[in-house]
Amino acid sequence: MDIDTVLNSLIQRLNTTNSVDEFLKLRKEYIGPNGIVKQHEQQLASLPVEQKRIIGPKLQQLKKDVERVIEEKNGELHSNTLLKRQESESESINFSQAKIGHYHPITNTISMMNQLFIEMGYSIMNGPEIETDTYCFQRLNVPVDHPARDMQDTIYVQAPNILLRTQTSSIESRVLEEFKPPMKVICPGRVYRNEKANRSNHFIFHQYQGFVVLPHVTLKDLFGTFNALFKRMYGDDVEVRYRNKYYPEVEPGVGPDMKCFNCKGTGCAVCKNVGWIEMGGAGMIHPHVLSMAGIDPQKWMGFAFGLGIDRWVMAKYNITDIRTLLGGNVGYKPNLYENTI
Amino acid sequence: MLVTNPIYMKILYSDLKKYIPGLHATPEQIAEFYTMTGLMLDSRTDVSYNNHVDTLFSLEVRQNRADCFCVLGLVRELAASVNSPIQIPSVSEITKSETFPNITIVDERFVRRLTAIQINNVTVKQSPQWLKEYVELHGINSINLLVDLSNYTMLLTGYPNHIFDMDKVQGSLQWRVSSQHKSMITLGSNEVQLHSEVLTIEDDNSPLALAGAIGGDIARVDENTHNILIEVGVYDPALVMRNSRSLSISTETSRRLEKNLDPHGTRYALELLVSLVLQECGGIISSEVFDFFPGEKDAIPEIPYDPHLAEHIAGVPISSDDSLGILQRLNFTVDSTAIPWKIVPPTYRTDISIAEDIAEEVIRFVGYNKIPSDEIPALDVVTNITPEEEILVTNLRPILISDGYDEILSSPLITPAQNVETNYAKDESIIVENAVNEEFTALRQSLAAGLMNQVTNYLKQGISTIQIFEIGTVFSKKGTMFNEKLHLGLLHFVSPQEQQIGTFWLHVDRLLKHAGITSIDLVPSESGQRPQIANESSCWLIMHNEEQIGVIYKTKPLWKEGSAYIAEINIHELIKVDIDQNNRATTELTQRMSSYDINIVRPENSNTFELAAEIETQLPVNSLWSISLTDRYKLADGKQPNLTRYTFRISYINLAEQDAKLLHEKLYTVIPGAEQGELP
Repeated sequence: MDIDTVLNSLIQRLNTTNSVDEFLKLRKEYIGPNGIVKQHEQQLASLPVEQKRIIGPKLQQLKKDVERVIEEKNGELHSNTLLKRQESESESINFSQAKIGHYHPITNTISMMNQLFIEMGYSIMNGPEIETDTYCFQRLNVPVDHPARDMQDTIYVQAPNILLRTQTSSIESRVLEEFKPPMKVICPGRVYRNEKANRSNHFIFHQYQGFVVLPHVTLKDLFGTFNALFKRMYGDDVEVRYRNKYYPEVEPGVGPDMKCFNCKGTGCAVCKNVGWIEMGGAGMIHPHVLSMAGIDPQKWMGFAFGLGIDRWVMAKYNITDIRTLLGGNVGYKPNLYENTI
Repeated sequence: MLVTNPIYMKILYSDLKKYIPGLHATPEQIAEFYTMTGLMLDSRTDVSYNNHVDTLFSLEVRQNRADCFCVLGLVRELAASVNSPIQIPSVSEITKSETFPNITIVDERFVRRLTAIQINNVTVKQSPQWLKEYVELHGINSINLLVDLSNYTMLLTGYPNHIFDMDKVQGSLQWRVSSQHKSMITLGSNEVQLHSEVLTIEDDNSPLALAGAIGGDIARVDENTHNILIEVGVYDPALVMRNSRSLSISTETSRRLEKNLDPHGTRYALELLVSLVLQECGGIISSEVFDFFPGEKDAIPEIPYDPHLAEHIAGVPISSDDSLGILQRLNFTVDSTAIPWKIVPPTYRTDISIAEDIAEEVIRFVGYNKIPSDEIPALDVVTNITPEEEILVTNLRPILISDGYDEILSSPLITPAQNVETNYAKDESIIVENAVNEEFTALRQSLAAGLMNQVTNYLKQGISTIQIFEIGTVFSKKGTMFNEKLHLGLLHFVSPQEQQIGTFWLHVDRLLKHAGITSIDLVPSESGQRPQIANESSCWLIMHNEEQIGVIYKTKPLWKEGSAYIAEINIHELIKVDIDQNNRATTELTQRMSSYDINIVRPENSNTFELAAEIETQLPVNSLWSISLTDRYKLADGKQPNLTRYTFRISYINLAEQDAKLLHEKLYTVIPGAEQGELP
């Protein structure tokens, strides 16, 4: 092939080439080890010096031009292939997002609390909601004629002995009897009270009970546990105080209060102007409670605590009517961009 | 914790200063003291009393502190804290008389102590202004001088009393239960029906008072009263409480006497009231003091107390000296010459009976705020006793959430009709005896009612994409046995064109498999096995090992916007299902995978899962990667009618090719109907 026609012939042939295989053949034909350019180089070696001086630079330029147009074609073909792949793949990509559900605020809160106690080695227990007077009251040091009892507050399934549990402490009575210490237990659950439902009270609400029975445990341990819980729920800045309070199933009893989140302790309607909000009850398990469960109070001691969950949840989720939590009025917004295309 | 209804006692700042002459604490400090030691401040109000600006504290009194339901009890608490003596109101000596009031105690077992005295020739005037203000600041209406003095004494001492107009009493006064009378008219002209357990005070003709609760109209004192009998009694607190509840009468008197009030203080209360009456109303004592006190000689038990108990419980150092000082300030008699100490509490501390009660006294006066709260306790490691059911629920919930379900909680109290519509078991419904709402009296037997209520509420709000679940207890009765089961309920609400029961089941099945629960079957439901709300042709029973563990159905057309698909599964039953929690899915890869086919000829419609299981049992777990059905061909050559050839591709792992082949060829000899398949 004449050196002057090589480039044009290559360009023409490349212009009509669309397949990678054909292109690779052409490249081999022109710049392969025995290709046209190589052949011209070999011929150059046998020419006289004068002709070498004329043809040499032309051949150098040809080699550069051939390599350039081949590289350009290579790039073109590569881009086309990628584009085609992308086009074919884009057909299978769906941009819609799957719906993600939501926890109920009560169980969400319970889960957060559970997480802390699971980390601290507690077991999670539950118990019957239809309970006997024995486990709901008597085993908790509240005999039949105890002044702390108010029969009017109880919903009965079969008065006077079968009732809907008024407190999750009933689970504690059962676990103490059924399992041998040592034990560390939490028992979240639903409880019932014979009370008209309104925006701030409901006859069904939720409590979070916990107790520990070990050879030696102290009020200091109880306070430390409570503080860890409050910090988990409200952050490290939360301020908690502990005061003496009476609950029949514990001795000594403890009332934990949190500094009012609304007024920061200066007094407002939320905290009834005292600067603190009661957050539950606690104390060292009464020796009688242990004895009634068959646990020797000389060898074992324990602490117990109970918290109402509903008000925490209402504050956290800005829910103003407690009935929302059980009445089917709780609404879950879809996650942002859910089901969009 | 048992939440008790709070009871409150009010006290004036001026009273505290009057009875604790050395008191210098400010109202703020006093409020803080009471709150931290167990008598939480309910309110603190500036008031005008006796021509001075005063502070009125309202304190929440502990249910077991009968001694603190009065001014002097609260004074004693504060005096112990500030370590200052108190000055109680003095009483004048009661002159001796030869006659006793005409009193008979018929039912002695209910009377712990009764003191009474007669005074003649009193003059009932208007109460002085300070007295009127005093009782009214404490929430009691001013009536007349005698009644106001009676209430004033009760507020000071905590002992309720009653004054009878003796000119209206016929014959003797009798304390008895089982009154012969059917009713009586109380103060305030309310008629009360008496029953056989009510403790009454009667004369020869009529019931005159409900002992421990309220006086009657017949012998009440008024401006014309001249001759009176004052009684101060302490009764069986359980009887007082039962009477109060059964008669629906709750008074200042009953609230005090239903607690364990110390009978020893009765005499002082009587003497104080007598002194006040003589001073304000004049009159002459006309009888000896009647004093019935069967327990007078009973010794107060000595409590052995280890002086280290308080610090053992509190977890912080509390010295024996500190303990001793606190107990002495609280008027405990302490013999500390030997360990354990021997301690006798003052008689009015009826709440103290064991060493832990004493330790609480020490700790609350040391101060709960002295116990550090910023250390997370390093408690002993103990065995985890969390039941399997709880673990399963904990695992299920996030799976449901990630699959697009929103969780709801609904009320377990529903209407009896809702139970009839949604229940699919044969157990009886439970009706509670005193439901708060007359409509919702039944404990739910199914979660479906709550799920459907949510649908209705959502549709009302214009929300029609509904995919919800609830995990909760359902209740039923069989004979005298009450049953509770934990259920999982799922609901999909779809427009009429969308979804079928099969699609919904695949969804539910996938969720269960996520939780490791396999080997669940569906069988069509028969009449009597379906909830009433279920569509008859779209209701299946969810089975495991021939036991029903749930139900899945499409509801009948209840909403114009679409239909609901509901699945309800008994979690108690679900935990009996083998949960595939072993680690067979993970293996170390050491050899290249080899795959071979096997044909198995079996009757048409053979269960392919069972065929795969048949193969699986013949192969070592560590060498098997997968078994998949690749072809199903109905043989139609006439020789083998109703037979089908099933082709499975078996992939072996961690075996050299020739070993895998040998293992595979062995299958042709052990599985009936097996023959070599084509190699891939």
